[in-house]
Amino acid sequence: MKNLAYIILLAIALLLPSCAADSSGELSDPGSAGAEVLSGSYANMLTIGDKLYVLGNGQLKTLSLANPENPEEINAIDISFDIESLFIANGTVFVGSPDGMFIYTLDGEGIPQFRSQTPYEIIEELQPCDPIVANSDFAFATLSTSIEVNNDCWRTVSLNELRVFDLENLELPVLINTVPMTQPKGVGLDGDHLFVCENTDGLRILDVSDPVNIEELEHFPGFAAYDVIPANGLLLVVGPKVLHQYDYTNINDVTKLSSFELQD
Amino acid sequence: MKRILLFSLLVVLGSCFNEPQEIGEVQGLKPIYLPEEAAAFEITSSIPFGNLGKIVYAEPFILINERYKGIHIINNMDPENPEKVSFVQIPGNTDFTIKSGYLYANSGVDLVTYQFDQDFSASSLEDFELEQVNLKEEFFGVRPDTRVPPDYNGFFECVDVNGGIVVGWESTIIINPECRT
Repeated sequence: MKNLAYIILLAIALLLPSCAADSSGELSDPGSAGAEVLSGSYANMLTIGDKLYVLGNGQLKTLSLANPENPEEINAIDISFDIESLFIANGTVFVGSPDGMFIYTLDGEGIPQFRSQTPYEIIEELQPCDPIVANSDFAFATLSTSIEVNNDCWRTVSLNELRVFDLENLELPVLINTVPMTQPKGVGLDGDHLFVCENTDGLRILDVSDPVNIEELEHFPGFAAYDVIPANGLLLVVGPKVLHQYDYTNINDVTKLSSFELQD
Repeated sequence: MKRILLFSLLVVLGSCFNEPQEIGEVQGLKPIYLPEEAAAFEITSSIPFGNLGKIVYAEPFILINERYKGIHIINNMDPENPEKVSFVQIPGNTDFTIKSGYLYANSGVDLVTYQFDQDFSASSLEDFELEQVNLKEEFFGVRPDTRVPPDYNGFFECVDVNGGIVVGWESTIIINPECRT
């Protein structure tokens, strides 16, 4: 029994760094004057207006880009050493960690102010990587993890789901829905449509107009999908080897435009 | 004297017997090397994609991080026929963002600012130039000892000093590992 506990601990220790290494959030940059820059949901560097926000060393740092050649740190907030994903929308900052979601709002100076910390309330051993996207009303977090334990027989402990939080009160986000998924990774939101990468199980397109009653519109299975960017009708989906592009101007008739082999 | 020798022999044997059987196949980490000659920042013609990370869309370009190595730039003027344009080599890079003609990226624990020689939204990126204009060393933390994986307890593949510069670590299965933290 002790042995098992050791193996579990070891598995967790091994999982942690790989989880952190996979980290990275989402960027929308409505403040930029030039072309809009969009990023996938794995991010820890984002710009909003003339500020650069980065996660690093357990901190959320704000840098001024008043002089774009010399970013200047103007604020640093200690959060937690395992923070791993950053998403900013409508002045609200979401920071994901394996055990919960932190919410900040940007004040007039663009400095994040703490609003809440929402624990995922999962058993401690599960350490999901958890990209988050949000609109002004709801946040969507994909939690995905799997621990293999070998003690005479293989045993897998998994958690794979989409969680939806009501953001009416940013001080107290309320979990309003949990949708089981295959192995959700990157996630992207455009209006009422949520695009979820399912790792080796392709891509799902969900209608989230009623977030307590989410409807799957389409599932393209059978390929590896890691992260996604919805860009006004053009959907970019990356797997470890291929960049897939879809036209989703008509959400009921999403068509593939190309599959670009990323490996020569 | 003999007795001491015998005693120490017994102790050595004892510690052997106490070893947890053969370690065998275990999960661990292995170093990711960057060849030394490739360790400097430069823009090269596109390289094959490998371990892909962050993706950014700055119409009409798609930028994809190649974990620990740099950034692929793809021309997506025609989404049905994307084309590789170039590769920006940044050792230890895992994340970046772009803003008004500037590229902000990590290089290991350093924060580096590059300036494009033209507006990034311009459509002729084929012959763009990038110039490093700022370097903030150890912005993301203290430069780690690259001989051991940082913040890690467990088995790992020992670093080969001739393998190049260690820019990161990745999960792997190791058979009878000789290094651990």
